[in-house]
Parts: sequence; structure tokens; C-alpha cells
Amino acid sequence: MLKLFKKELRLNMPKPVYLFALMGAMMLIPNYPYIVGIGYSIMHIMIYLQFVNENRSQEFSATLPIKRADIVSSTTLVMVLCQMLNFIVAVICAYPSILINPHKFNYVGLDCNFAFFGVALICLGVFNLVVIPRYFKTGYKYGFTLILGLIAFVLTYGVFETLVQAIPPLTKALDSYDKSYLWARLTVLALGIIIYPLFTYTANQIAIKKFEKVNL
Amino acid sequence: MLQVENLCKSYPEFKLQNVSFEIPKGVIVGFIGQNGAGKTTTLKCIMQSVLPDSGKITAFGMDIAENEMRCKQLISFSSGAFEYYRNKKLQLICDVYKTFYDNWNQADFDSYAKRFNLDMNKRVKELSAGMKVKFALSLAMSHEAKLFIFDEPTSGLDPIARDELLDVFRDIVDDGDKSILFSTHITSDLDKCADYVMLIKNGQLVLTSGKDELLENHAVIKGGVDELTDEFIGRLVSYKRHQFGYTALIRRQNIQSSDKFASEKPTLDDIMIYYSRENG
Repeated sequence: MLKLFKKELRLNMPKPVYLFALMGAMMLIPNYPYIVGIGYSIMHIMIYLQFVNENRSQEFSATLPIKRADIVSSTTLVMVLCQMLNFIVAVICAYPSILINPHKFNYVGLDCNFAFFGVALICLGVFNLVVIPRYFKTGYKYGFTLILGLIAFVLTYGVFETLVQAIPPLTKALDSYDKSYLWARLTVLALGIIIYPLFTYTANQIAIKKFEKVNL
Repeated sequence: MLQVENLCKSYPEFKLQNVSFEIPKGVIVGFIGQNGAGKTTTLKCIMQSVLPDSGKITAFGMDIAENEMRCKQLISFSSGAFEYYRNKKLQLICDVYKTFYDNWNQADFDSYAKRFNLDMNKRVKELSAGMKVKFALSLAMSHEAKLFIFDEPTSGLDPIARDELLDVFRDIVDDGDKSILFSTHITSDLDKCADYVMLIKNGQLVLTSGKDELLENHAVIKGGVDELTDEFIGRLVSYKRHQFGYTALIRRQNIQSSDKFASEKPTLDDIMIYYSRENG
């Protein structure tokens, strides 16, 4: 599977495309919905899947001595790489973002704190759960699938944001840097750290079953 | 080496029905049939790119569905021209491709690349159709496979390159340990190198035979239209009616002593054409 993952990176991922990861640096824009920067990884994934199709990569991979399931897992792994590169850049920019923000607090969305990153991971997990199995129903149709994934991503974030803004105790605990509520924000982060791999793994397993039936 | 038993695959507009054949060691088998007859579907089923509805495929004594990775180390597949990764250089594709094979033979690849004049610094999109075929075949022939499956390997090649490739095919099977199964429309390729011929029509294998046997056991016959009685037509593979009479293909065993037509030895083209006709 690792060989196939390397193949994907060498043949389907032009190096300039990695620049999309820098969109995670949108965290540095003061008073900005930070989730937008994280969401740019979806664009990165879209370009990758476009290259997969253009290169007839799945068809080529099917002739190699590999397990069919590895085609799915390596694609999932590339998608995770796109998301995590973007996420890591966002994490790196988090602290400078707080320092340079004149108001310290973000007026148009969650503050750039642990809870935000937990929510972002949950949103990415939901995105993967929607996109990966649906994409591997055919192995090539990605357009509408990505739109559905984007809708799921935005809705998931919207629900969290609405709950946090509508319920004052949650606002106080999660949309702040208040040290007395650090545990609450770390809990959300821990939830994200559990949910993201769990949803991605589940998505991958469902996709493997679906892809077994696809004629290439 | 390869056994295919009762292979079936249904699409809404096409059915592959009970295709069965066997490929022994050390032979070249030509797989012929009209466009859409089921050649590529059969080959893709063997490679598991297309999943059969039923049937069993055994390669080197192993069920290919259960031992796909092991079998594919020993099977080489090339589907005509190399139409993948158009913007990548041949060298990069080769470097990636060889990592998947335990027995990659760089010397073999270099020798084919030299023989076919492949410029490894070119990108796939810069190659002519023929060069794309040569690149695909160079990759396929360099990992010490035992069974070579080629889908239309000679299409797009000029006559000289085709001739050269067929020589390479003969070299491959010369040691008696390797076999080639290739589909083609160009029956002169079969004349030059095939030991066996299989013909598929509307998803059904209608003919499997040694090439020489096939030619000896059939005859092209010509006669007047008045000879075309129902009983006579029943004995023919198929026939063509024209202004001055008919031309037909008949199995020699169906010729009776009272028959008065002129007969001649068929070519593989005749065999393919008459077996593919709907009045057959």
C-alpha cells in the first residue's frame, strides 16, 4: 500500500499543488471565519482527484500486482495528507494569529483555540465519511460528491458554531481563551482527535467494499 | 498455465457467455473477433479489472481472484498504447512502475528501450501512437512474467515495428516456459506468430483451435446461387451471395462427395470474416 501511496504522490500530485496547504495560513487574517482556511484542503483534494481521472490512474493501478483495496486506502491516505498539511499550517499559524489580532478575539466565528481545531477535525472527518465511500462507488465521479462533502463540512461547522453562539455557557467555555475553561476546549480537541481517524477509517472500509464491485 | 472456465459477465447491452479456454506453456494464442465481441472484457476479467459475474480463472494453479497479487507478479498485461500519465516523463513512470515488481529486470527494459528507440526523457504526450505501444510493451516485458496478455499490441505500429514486435513475441516463448495471449484485428499477425487461434463472437467463444489445423479443416468454396439449398446452407459456416453466385466457408468434414463447388484453402481473414457473419 505504501508503494501505491508513493506512486500517487509521484504521478498524480504535481508539486505546486502542495501550495494549497499554505491556505491554512488564512488563520493570520484577523476576524475571519478560520474554518475557510481549513476548507481549502477540499480544493487540494479536488485537484488531486482531477489528476487521478485525467491520468486514468485507477485503471493503470488495477493492472499492477496490488490488492484492489490498496487503491482505495492509498487514495484515502493522499486525501488525509492534503487535509493534514493544511491543518498543520493552520496550527502553526494559530499562536501568531492571536498575537497579531488587534482585538484578540475573533468576531466572525470561533476563536483560534483548541476547541476550534477539534471542531475542524470533526468537520474533516464528516467530509471524509461523505466523500470517500461515494467516490469509490464509481472510482471516477468526484464533482457532485465533493459538493456533497463540502455541504456536510459547512453544515457540521454551522451546527457547532450556532450551538456555541446560541448557548452562553458554551460561548464562554469554547469561544474564548479563558484558562478556567481550558478543559472544555481540550475535550472538544480530544473529540476531534478521536472522531477524525475513526470516521476516515470507517469511510475507507465502506469504500473498499464498494470498490470491490467496480469494473475498471 | 491459464485456465478460464465458464466466464460470464453481463452488461446492459452486452453479455459474455460461458467463455472457457486453456493456455498451455510455450505458446502464442491469438484472440480475434469483431469490435465489441468481448475480447477486451475477457482479458480484463482475467486481470480482475472487470469482475466476472461467474466462472473461474486459474493461473499457475492458483485461483486468480484469491491470489491476485501473486498471479499479477507473473502475468504481464498491456492494453495497447500507454495512455496514462500523459504529462509525466517515461523515466519517472518506469521508476515508479518497477517498484511494484519483485523480479524487475532493468537490463531487459534497457534493451527493449534501446531496440524501440525510446527516449526516456520524453513525456507520454510527446510520443507517437506507435511509441506509446512500444513503451507499454517494454514495461510489460521487463518483469520476468510467465504469461503475457496483450490487448491489441500491434495496433498503431507501422509494418516494420509490427514485424519486429512479432519477432520479440517468438523470442519470449522460445524457451517453452512462457506464453502469450494477445487480441488483434490484424490477422496477418497471427499468420506470422500464433500457434493457436480463438475467435469470439457476440460474447461467445465460437472457435478454439491450432492455427494450422484451423486452416486445414476449412475451405473457401465458390458456386452458383442455385446450389444454395437449405440443406446446403446448413452445412456452411456462413456465406456471401453476390451477382454471379456465392462464396462460403465450410468445414471440410461437411463436404460431401457429391458436392461440385470449387474450393481453396482459406486465410485467417476468411475464417474471421465468415465466422463473424450473422448468417453463420
